[in-house]
Amino acid sequence: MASITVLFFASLREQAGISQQTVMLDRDTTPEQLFARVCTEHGISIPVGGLRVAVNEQFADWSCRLNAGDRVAFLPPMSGG
Amino acid sequence: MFYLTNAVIDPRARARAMANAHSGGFVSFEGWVRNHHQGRGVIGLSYHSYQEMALSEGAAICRQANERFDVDAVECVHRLGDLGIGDCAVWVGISAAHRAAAFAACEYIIDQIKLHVPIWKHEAYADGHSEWVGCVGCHSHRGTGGANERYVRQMAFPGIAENGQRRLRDSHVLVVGMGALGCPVADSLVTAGVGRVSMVDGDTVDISNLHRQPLYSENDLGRKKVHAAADRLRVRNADVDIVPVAAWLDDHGAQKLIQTADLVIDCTDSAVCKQRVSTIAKLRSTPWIVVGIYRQDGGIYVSPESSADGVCWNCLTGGSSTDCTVSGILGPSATALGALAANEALKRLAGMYSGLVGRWSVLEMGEGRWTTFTPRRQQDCDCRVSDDAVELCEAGPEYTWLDIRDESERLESPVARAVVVDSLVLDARPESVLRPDKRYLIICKRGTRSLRAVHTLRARGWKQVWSLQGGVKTALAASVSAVEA
Repeated sequence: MASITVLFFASLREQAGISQQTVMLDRDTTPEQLFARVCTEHGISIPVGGLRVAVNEQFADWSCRLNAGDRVAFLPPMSGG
Repeated sequence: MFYLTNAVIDPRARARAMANAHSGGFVSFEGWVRNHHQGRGVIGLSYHSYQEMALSEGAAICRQANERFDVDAVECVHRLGDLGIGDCAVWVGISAAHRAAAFAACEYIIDQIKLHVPIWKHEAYADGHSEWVGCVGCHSHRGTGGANERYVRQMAFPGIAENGQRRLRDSHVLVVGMGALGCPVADSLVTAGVGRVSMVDGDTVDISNLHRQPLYSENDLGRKKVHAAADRLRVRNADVDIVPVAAWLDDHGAQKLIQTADLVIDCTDSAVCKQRVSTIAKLRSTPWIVVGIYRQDGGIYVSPESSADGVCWNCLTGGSSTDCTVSGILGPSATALGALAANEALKRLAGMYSGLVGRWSVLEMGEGRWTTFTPRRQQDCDCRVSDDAVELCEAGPEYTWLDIRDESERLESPVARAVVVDSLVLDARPESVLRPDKRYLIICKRGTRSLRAVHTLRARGWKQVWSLQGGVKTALAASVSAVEA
């Protein structure tokens, strides 16, 4: 098992009702699997297609393998500028 | 450098601070809070960020701008927190010796920030509601590939998303043949947002084409197909760069077109053309998709990413083709095959997995049967280059060069280091030319006759012979001096 910190922002934070949480995951879990899990847990209804994922402040692939201690952020479409 | 701030941004003070003796110009961009968004009245907004990542991404964008453009200094600051109408939300300043670089860098930075810096805008509207603003679906970002209402359903598809859409936008596909297969292929690529689509066909629109070639209308009769298709496709998606080439594909033209494309889709009904396209695509290692149809039965081959590892049209079919003027064809059967090819193309370009890669798949619409094979290179096929042919750069001094071209070809492109050999003599009495302890590189104009000679010699036990891949033509184009040396 690996301890992962999940960060929520903007519309996702609103839907999840929290800004971050710590979850215990099986080794080799992917961000896509993690997202499905937190969606179920918090009743999030945002489709994954419009989102991006960052691991430790770097954009990452939805199918990468997560390691213990990683910070995973699910990022809604950005609207700065 | 890139900063985030909760304080009011003062553009004048920032511009003054960038003045220096080396710069001949200064360009800045200010993003302001406006009082409307997509027809709704806006009374204020707040910016929120993933601060650590926003800082690192913003700094990376400024660094990239510094590297890409000839500028002296790059500064960017983005507001966070609550802002009122008219407030400055973001400021970009560029100083440079010359203005062109400054304008380009400024536009680059603001475009990249909108796409990649994790900052989100929460707008409060005059009607009492408030919402998070998402760039997906935002009209102001049309054409950026990452944020476009046009593609929002496609981007919701797992594997496409923003990244895949960007890859499509950055791709160039060559469609060869704009008939019943090429029409649905080009239409799907253009509407999906592939950045550049080139189409090559020398034919004109005929009334007998209209039942199966959906890009053409009665108004197009007699026009070049590629011009009629280009007009139609430009109103399907104005963001795509559409390049019509009204010509039949000869060797020279094919080389030129294929080497600039990220993917070639062969939709012709000519075996000669299919063989030409597949051979050149393999030689250039350009990924290649081919479709062919006979009545209701169609086949599709999707080459591996490096098409040199795949097969050619001859290996797949023995060089056959069909002419629908004789055999007849149902329009929707061709449309189905074309759509299948376009589907494979989009997956390849977006970087998605496909089970059809490296496979020859046959769809029998009459029988309702779908069969896939792993095709094998034919033993005697010209495309079987890897073991029998060597590239110029691999042809070191250990090879003795044998030139089997005829006199006129030799005069046209002389190769001083090669020994001239009569191909008939080499064929009839190889022992009069070759020594068993030496390695020979046989050259001809295009690498076809030499490869055939190599196969014949090897079959007779002369194993130390190779063919110059692509022949003198390719070798000369690659490096005149190396061949002459």
